[in-house]
Amino acid sequence: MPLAWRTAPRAALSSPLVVLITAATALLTCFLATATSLHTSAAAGAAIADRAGSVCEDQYGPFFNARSLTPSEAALVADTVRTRAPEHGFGRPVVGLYTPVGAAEFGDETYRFRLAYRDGGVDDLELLRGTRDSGLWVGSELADAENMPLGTRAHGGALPPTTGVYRDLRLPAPGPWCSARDMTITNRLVDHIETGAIVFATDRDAFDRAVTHFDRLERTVVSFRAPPPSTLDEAEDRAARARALIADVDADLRARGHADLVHGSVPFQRSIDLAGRAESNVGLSILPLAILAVLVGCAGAGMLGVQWYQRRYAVIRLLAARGHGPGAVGLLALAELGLPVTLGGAAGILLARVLLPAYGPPGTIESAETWAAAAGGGAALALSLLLLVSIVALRAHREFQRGRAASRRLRSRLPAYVPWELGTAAVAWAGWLRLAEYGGTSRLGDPLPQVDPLALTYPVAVVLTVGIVTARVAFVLLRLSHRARLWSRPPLQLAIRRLAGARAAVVGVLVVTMLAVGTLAVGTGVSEGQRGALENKTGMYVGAESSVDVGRSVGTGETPLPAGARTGTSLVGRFNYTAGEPTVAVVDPETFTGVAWTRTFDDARLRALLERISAPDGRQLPALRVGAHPAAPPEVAGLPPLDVAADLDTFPLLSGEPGYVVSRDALTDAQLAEVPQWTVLSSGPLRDLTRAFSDAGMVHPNAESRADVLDALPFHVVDWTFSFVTLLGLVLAVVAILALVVAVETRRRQNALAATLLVRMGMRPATLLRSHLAELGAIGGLATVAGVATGVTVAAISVRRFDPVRWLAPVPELPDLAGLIVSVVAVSTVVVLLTALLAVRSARTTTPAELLRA
Amino acid sequence: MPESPTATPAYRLRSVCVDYPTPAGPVSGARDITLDIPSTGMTVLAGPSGSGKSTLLRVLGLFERPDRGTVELDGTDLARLSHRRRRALRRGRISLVFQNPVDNLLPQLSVAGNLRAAAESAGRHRYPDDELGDVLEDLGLDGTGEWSVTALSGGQQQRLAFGCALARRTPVILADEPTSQLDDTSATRVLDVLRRLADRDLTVVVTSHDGRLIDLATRVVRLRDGALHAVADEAEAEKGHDTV
Repeated sequence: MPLAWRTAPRAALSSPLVVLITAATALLTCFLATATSLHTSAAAGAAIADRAGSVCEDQYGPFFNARSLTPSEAALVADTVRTRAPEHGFGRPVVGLYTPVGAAEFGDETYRFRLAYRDGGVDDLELLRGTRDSGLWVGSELADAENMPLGTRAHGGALPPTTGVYRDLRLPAPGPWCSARDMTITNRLVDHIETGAIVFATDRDAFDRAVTHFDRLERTVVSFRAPPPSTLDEAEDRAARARALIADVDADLRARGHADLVHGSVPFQRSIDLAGRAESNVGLSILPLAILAVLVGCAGAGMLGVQWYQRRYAVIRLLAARGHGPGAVGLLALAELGLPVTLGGAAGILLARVLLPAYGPPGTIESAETWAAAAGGGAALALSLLLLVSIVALRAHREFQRGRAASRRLRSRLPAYVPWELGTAAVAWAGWLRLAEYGGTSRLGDPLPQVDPLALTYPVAVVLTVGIVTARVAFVLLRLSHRARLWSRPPLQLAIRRLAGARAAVVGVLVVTMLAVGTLAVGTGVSEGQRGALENKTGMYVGAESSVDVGRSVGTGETPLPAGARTGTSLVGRFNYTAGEPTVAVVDPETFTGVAWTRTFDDARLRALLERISAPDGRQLPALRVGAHPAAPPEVAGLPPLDVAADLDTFPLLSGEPGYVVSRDALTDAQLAEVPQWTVLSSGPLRDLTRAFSDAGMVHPNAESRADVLDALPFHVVDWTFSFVTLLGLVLAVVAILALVVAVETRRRQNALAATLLVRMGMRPATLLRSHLAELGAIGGLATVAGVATGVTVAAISVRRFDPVRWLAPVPELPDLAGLIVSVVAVSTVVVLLTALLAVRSARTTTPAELLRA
Repeated sequence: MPESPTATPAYRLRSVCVDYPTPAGPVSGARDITLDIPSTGMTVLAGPSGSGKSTLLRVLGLFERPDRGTVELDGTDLARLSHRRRRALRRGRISLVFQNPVDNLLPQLSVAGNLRAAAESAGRHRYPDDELGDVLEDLGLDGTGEWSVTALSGGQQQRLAFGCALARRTPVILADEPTSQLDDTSATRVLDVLRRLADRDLTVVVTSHDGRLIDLATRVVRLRDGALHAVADEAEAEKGHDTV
């Protein structure tokens, strides 16, 4: 390698700022290229994790379910599955056997009970009394109520002895019993303890001895215990193996003459499909902008090439004069800047992986996906290096080989004449139209609305369109700026001339800055809007963090709340006789505001309203009317006519459904006794609430928790997509700052010459600084104002359209973006100030030699 | 003594025209120039600013292709050559010295490094130390071999630039106003170097309006408005005769 090339890396050190900016540009480009892929993979992992709660613990793999099998048929099914499972990578299956409810006498009494057994099942029960010896375990409610002693042998001694008393299982079903909850948890609304007890066999032998009392089993379940898959690939692999196992088991049973004996399924398959859709939605939605951003980064590498060519012009000309070709000159650029670009790119790839938990969805990704993402970053790095070499080589060829070229200006300006904004506007329009359909068809059972990825690109396409239009207008204005005659204000005139003199660079920086600010605003707005919507919708639907229904006596206060549920709870009664009629809710003003989900309300106003409806005038009952389309006050038996004291769009527990709210304090005890349905709202987790009621032996159906009442995946998909848009905005902001610094540094010599002349002509340094402030402030100010205005407007318009669950109030609202706007303005101001000082400093520190050369 | 200008010319230019495109239409940088440049001695292209000196030098340095006319170097028609062949000619036969001294050197290399890099660029991968020492001594730069080129004065840098041309051992040396950015003392020392070059068996073409440099010329080509105004050989120049 010739000496000039060998020593080129050392030459790079002559300008540390350029090395730094070069490395930073490559870092950002490779970071984005890698982060796009990682973000999409993490979205898939997060979607899988999110969906893990949608099925039971033993339903992530194959799940065999059979009804009405004889005990021998059940054994055949279990054996077949057990034999075939290892071939498909599954371990030992867990067999659950449940008889129908039958009758047997324990001692002197006859009870109705279901005999249940599951491999290792007693390990998932809480033994209150007795031992783990072979026999039967009786539920504590039955044992306590009937004073059933241990050792009792039912059915005249035909059944194994009762060796233990376990704590009865209650809803919500504990994880291990989730898939068999209808077989192992007694519905207290239907079955009395004496008519629906569950008796567990401690082992298979005990079950086999006891089951002779039954001809057939009600259910046979064969499943596999395994932790939930953490990635989409893992889930898909497990599902594929599960389907193969089911097919083999079916074939084996058919061969033995037992076709259709058992139904095999992969319950997690639907979640896998949804996660796959979520991944593709996020991936396809962020891809266009990510490609654009990576191209901006690569263009940055190209700009660095141009800047290097300008800085090293003398050396390039010397080498060209000595017969070195354009390729060699390009390789010289590579030799000088290749190391910072490569190191920066590698750091970007590494940073994208390390920072993934901070910016990406909370999902696990596999190492293969990490390598694939790194390959994407590597491709961006290679593209950057190729662009660097190509641009330098092309320039060298044009200047030192081809000589003068006709129509070069036209060709170089050709991209400026392409109406890019029409293309982006068309994408925005198409996205907007598709967005109109979004969320309109979602239901509780099918929660992920059919989202067209094009719809998710709509806000960014609008920002892009406005950015391009702003650039075009700025370009035209700068071309016409020679008409401006503002010499009475020298800083302004100078700033205008400088801007006009470098209008291509100015427009480039302007577009990138505007895109950065716009995408930051729209990303933050939509993303936080989705999070807020999910919280508020679930909060409004449940009424608080969690809730359970309770009996009338608890509601009226006749039966006190259990000790564990006396704090952080509030009782709400409901009159809701017929569907379509407005609900009348009875709230306790003392506890309601502290417990219910009232984040969308002004606390003081809500307290005042509740206070107002707590003081009836005797003839009418004051009430709050709820709903965007309120219904006429219903006539409620036992209550005075309702008098509307105020209107509210939404209310906890009622959401946005038409209804009325009255105060418990305004009702007499007799009127309270007429309330048919009571709910306890809690500000704590559901587990604590249900445990309190279970411990007290109190019935508490319809347990609901804010955490799982709605499928959050549709919200997350939009949230993850726009989180990435926010990240892109941040990266573009850094690119914009770097571009501004490079632009100022590139014009160092021109600035210095002009400044020297101007100062000699009598201009004060302060005036010079003001002119730079005006110049750079115009770019920063215009980009900030246009970006914030566009971003906030688009976010405000689209945040409601991105509501995936439109049937449930409240509608998503634009979050408070004041903090973001203040931050953007502050950063812009600081950057403008620093770059202006840099420009003035470069003028003051220029050596006479540099001036002479200029 | 240099060879007679009537010997086989190094460059043969016939009706050479170079046009520059400008927003106001094409502007002629060189108009219908027919000229022979002898293979030895020093030819000075003289004329006021804008007369076409630098354009002609760019044509001779193979940086520019004429729009019309032919240019031959050692009998080879340059217009017919591919980019590769033109680069090969630049590499092996031509050395260029630019007006600004620092533009002729690689700033990250030492004085000796620059000489070695120059020799290397012409295919001389082995450049003996004693030859390097001789060149430096010839240039009046002995003892500066390990210096950074930025430590040299403008005059020293320009002399080193001619040293690089010597190290390349090309038969043609083109120089664009080599004394215009130097003070008198430095310019005088550069002129000494040029005088010694002119005495060798080399084609030296220099653009200049420095009277002292014109005095050294074996042939003076005067240009005006892009056209050839007058050509004077050494003997004729001494008599004050110009021919066109």
